[in-house]
Amino acid sequence: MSNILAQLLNALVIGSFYALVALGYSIVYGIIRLINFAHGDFYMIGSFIGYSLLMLFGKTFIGNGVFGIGLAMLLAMALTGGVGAAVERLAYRPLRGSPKIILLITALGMSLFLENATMVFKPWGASFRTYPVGLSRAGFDLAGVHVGYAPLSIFFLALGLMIGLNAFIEKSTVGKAMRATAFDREAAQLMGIGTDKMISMGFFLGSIMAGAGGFLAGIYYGQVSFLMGFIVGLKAFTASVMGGIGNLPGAMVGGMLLGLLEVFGTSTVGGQWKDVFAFGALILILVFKPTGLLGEKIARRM
Amino acid sequence: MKTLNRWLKPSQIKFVKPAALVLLLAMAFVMPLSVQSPYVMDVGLQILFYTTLALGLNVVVGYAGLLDLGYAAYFAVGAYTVGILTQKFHFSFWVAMPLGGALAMLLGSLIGFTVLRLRSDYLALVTLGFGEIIRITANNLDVTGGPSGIFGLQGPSILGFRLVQPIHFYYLMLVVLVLSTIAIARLGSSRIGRAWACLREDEDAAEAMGINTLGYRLLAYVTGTFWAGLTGAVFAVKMTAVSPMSFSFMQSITILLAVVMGGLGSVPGVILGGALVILLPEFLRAVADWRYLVFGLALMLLMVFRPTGLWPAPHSLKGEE
Amino acid sequence: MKSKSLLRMMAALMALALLVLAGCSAAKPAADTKPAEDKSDVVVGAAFPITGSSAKMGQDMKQAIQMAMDEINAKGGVLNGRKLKLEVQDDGCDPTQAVAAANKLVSLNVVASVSGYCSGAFLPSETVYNNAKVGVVVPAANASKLTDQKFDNINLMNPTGADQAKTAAAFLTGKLGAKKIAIIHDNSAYAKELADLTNAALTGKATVTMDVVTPGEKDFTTTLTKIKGTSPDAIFWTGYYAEGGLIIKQAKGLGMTAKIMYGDGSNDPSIIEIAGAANAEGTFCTTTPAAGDFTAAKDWIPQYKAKYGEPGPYSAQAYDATNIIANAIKAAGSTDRAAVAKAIRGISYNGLTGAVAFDDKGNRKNGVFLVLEVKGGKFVVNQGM
Repeated sequence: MSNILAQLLNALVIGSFYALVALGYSIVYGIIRLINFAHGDFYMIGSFIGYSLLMLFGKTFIGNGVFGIGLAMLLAMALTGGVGAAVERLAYRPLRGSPKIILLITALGMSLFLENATMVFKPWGASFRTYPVGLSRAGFDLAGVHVGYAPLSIFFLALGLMIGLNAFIEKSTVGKAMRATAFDREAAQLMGIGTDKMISMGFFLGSIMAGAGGFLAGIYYGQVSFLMGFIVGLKAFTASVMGGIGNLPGAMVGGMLLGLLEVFGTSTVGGQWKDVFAFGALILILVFKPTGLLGEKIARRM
Repeated sequence: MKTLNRWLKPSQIKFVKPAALVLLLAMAFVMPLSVQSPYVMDVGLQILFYTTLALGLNVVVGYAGLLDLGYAAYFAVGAYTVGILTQKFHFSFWVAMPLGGALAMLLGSLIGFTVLRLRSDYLALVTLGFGEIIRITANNLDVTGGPSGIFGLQGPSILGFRLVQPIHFYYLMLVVLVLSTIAIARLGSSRIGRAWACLREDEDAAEAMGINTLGYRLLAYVTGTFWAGLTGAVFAVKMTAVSPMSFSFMQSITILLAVVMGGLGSVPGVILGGALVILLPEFLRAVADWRYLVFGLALMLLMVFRPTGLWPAPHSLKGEE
Repeated sequence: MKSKSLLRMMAALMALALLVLAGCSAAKPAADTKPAEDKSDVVVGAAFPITGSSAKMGQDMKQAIQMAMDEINAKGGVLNGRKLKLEVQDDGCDPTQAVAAANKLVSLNVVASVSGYCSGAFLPSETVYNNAKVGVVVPAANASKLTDQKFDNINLMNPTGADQAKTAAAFLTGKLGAKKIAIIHDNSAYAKELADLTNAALTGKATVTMDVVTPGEKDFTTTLTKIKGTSPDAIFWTGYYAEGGLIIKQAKGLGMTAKIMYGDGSNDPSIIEIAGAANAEGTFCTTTPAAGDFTAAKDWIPQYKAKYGEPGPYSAQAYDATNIIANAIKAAGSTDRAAVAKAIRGISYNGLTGAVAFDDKGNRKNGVFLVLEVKGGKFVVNQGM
């Protein structure tokens, strides 16, 4: 029993990371129907920016305590959002209207570029970096299992970010404009909505989420490397499809579900089949329920 | 253009293209005999392999417009089939090679049937996922030799003459490449090729015209996988070893880059792309860790400035509006 | 339209032709004539990763080889004053690149080579070296499969996984008194082999569970939770240090009290950094001796440090390998590849890594594995030579 509880806790944390990245995937896909291959790499960039910030803060008066971590996280999120918006502006906007395959190839190229730019960038480098601070093991015991505050916090933080993001999209004026752009771009333009700005906003928000995920992963696991975004990106895409692409609560659900599936797969068949499990789940969903568990939320026509 | 018109009489111009092709072919045949270096031979062989692979992927991506990111998986299937059949079951290479192609085709049809109905963007990621599944499975199973793979493979023999030296494989692959080029070029201009072009340009219109989209997509996909399987078979005996490390996602990307850089749907373009994708990193060995950075940048720049590739097909992709 | 594409085609063909010709001319022709009195440099090759995640290993070995060569050249070189010259090729820890690198070295007229860090990548390249009769001394890679083909020109500086497994098994059941052992590997060629061999060495002495994780991942808590459920006395990790550090950290985080040991793939100070000094305290490592463990290397280390900084785990082996090749060239009295390869196989050399000799399969005779322990945030020798 305690084993199952422990594994559920693991799934909760793993799922939270997938969910955060999946949120970004969903937003971007919802608004311009593009699978941004580079999205997983925003997660990675967020973690490295966080690393550099924390290293910097540690040397200055800001320090590496709670304040420093909080500030670093906010900055990392904002900067990653900026990177996302820049990528859209520089690489994807010039190609809007091109055949889908061209856009996909560009996104692929961007992913390669970001990964390898991080690799050759000396302060970040080819090997991994270790975060100067980590989270403590403190927690409480429940039914023989040690439940840490750290994993719980990550879960609630992810949940909070999702709720906040969803509220923003549903309730605010900007959010409404974004949804209008996603639903029918031409009509939105006719209504006087700056669709380009809305698309940038979508990228910005999605990348903020990815950046948050990356920073938290850095703090939680302690290790960041330039290829960490690749597989997480794929899994996050799986998660968003599982929940229903374009659907924010769906991304959260999908992320959690994927976490559970992976944990289940690893503890039964073994760690070497973990990715096969995840991709297998993707294929099954696409064959049997391509609109996802909670249903898609995208435009019928662009 | 006009300069050419000035130098040659109109009746002579139509001989330029075939003459150039003959020249290129002659150079390719003569090269290994005049150059002694095994290194140049190895590079030449790699070019032949990648160009054949790119030709196969071209059918999938260039002709039919299906973005396949897991092409290396079928390359792996061909290689492993030959590895297992020749080493464990003592099949002759000449039997194992077509079996490798056939098995790749079988797997391709299973996977294709499952996923080809999906949207193009989903398709890309799912093929990526399948590519990884195949690689991980090959890495995990004992029958495929696990992470060490299969090694110590014997070269095939033709009428008693055993192929061991790289030069033998060079000529073998050259023959394969020439045959592939002819076959795929023909395919492109055939009725099937036109149906593919229709599918690629506007799927809805194609459906409306009564073209069986799933059927044609499957045909393209399966043709591509067959080629990859065949090439994998020869690759296995040339390397005398099959290692799961050779079939990574990066491998699929490199082949895709060859197709995209050369020109989607263009046979001469794809051949050029295959050559470039090997030669450029070799020339840049000094700055090897920038290789994939340059690849990524090249892909993006190409898409913005020259999406039709360096040597475009005569009728290339138009933008959708 | 038509003529435009014609011209383009001509241009592309010319470009392609130029490229091919450039490539041809860039490669030097194979050595054919033997001049009467040859004073040219003797080229020794090296192939290991100098890019990618193992780049640091390759750099460490390259520097050690260069250091050895500089010393040999300063003392007069080989064969009547000919200097040694190093040619390094990147194998990127990838089999296809390793084969290309080997071919490139052969075309650069290397007399012998110091090659091989990643076993999986090095394996297929052995055939290339063998066909060209180039003698190879392998400074780092040591999967047992490397000598299974019994090539007469491949020689390993390090004892193989089989020896390491025996050492590990003995230590686990002996000093650590473990009866239940959980082995974890990452399904790479080297780690899996070590795991399997250790499992075999433990039959009858302990109950063993085997688990696999995916390299490059960060989260191993699922596998560790599963292992925790079986209450093992000890955990043995056979993969590399990036994952090893995380495994130690997460195992401690789960409150596991099992003793933790890892193989030489994880022998790197970074593992302590990743795991956190407190977590890594009291963990063990089986490893081929590194520079610091050899008594003969005591004076050599400061010399290396002065030039290049801290030596890597295979710097001493690479240094010895270079000297072995130089001695073999002297013993053979020529730069004939086959003669040099034969001389390497028959060598008897006392170096930084102790007395070096190779058996008829190419394995190192009397190779030894140490067991290190982390004490006070550093590796110290627990069980020595």
